[in-house]
Amino acid sequence: MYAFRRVLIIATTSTIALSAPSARAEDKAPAAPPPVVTAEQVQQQDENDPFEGSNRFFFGVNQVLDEALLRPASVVYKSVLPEFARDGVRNLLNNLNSPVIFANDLMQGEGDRAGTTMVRFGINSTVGILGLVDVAADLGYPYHDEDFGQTLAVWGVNDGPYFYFLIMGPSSARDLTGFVVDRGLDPLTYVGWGNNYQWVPITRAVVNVLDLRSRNIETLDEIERTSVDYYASIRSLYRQSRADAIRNGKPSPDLPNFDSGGGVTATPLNRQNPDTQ
Amino acid sequence: MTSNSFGRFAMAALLTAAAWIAAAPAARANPEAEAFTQRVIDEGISILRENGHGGDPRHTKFHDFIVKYADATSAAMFTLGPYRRGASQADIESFVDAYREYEFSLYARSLDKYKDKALHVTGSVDNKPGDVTVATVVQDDRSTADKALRIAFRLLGSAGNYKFADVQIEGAWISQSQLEQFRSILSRNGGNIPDLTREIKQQTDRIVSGR
Repeated sequence: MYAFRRVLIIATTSTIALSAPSARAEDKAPAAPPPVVTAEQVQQQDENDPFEGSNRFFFGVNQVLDEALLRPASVVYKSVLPEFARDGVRNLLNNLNSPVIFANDLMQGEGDRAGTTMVRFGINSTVGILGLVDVAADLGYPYHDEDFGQTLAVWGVNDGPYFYFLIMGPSSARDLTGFVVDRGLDPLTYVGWGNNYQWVPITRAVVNVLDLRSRNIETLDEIERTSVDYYASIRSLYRQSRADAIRNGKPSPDLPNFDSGGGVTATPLNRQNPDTQ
Repeated sequence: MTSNSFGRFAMAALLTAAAWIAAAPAARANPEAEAFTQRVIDEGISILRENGHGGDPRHTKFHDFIVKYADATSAAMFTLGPYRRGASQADIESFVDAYREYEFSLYARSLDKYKDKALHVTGSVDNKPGDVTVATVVQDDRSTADKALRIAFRLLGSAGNYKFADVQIEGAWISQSQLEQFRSILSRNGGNIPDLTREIKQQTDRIVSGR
């Protein structure tokens, strides 16, 4: 949808430019006025948030749910579990995600990183007591995260329109697709199928959300406190952090363009896969 | 050597040189910018570590420090986006003043959290002449390399005359986030910059008062 709209804007302005009469000295016809692209069009093109109305609605609902349920629960979780225990939980969850990370490392052609993931899984699952202790990191095999949304980006797929889902939070068309595929790649998804062990993947999901929320209490509080538009702030930070993850933390060639006359970035972030550069 | 073979040799040499130049990396490190950044970070942290509370000379000292080293104007104009076209000079100047104080409140609040940690410069990239990105990491005693916080600073200017224009935390530029926020507000209020300026001032007051 985004690609179609961008093509439409370019096509429209190109048509206006091409249809202007060619100037000959004997005609002395006035030049056609330059095509006008309004600030709103530029904004729509850059932000790619065509469902902003419903996104803001679900964002508001999520804020209420977070304030009433998730944030208090994560505060309790953080106060009850000492730091070493919470680190153990995070290490265990990271280790359980290794098959998904490994598969995506391979699909992205990252052989070295796939090797690191495999070594980490082997060491931490054994010496690291099922992953509770990240022994591999101390041995020079640091953790990294990968998912199919990042893999699609590496393959050249644009992120598509922005979404904000109830409970799930910020996403994009690409990342939503990636999320679904990753569930298919995850062996734990099949643990609870057709038996009495559905509580295993459900418990893992709940603990994962709780642990992540507890690690971001102060950060999200700070972002909310210092934002003039919290929704737009979260949207921007989500996209930029995803682009950073896709680049595996490498510097991006896209920088906020402080030279441009209107302040618009010359190469908007997250468009046309600058993520992978 | 005949003239023809000399000509072919010269052309081959030129093409080889051209290929070598083209293959050279466009981005290079900038040691002057790195040294400047480390020095300014150390100076800022030493001010924050001085005993005192908000409103006292330490606060004034830190305010002067930010004004001295930060280029708020470039970032402010960027965050206005295309809405700055057609805006009056008075509106823009009011906005830039409000933005400057907003930035100071953000920096003062954020850097205060890191005053007991160590920020180390790890490298830099020359984006173009007069535009450098300097990378740093924040580490405390307990964090390992993979848990260190990545912060990058964008400097505009030249050796001996740099200004900090933007900050990137874990891959996210603050100015980009502000651009989207401000554009969202301007799109809802019909591009009214004085209204945006008022909202920024109100937010600054909330940040300063701790609400």
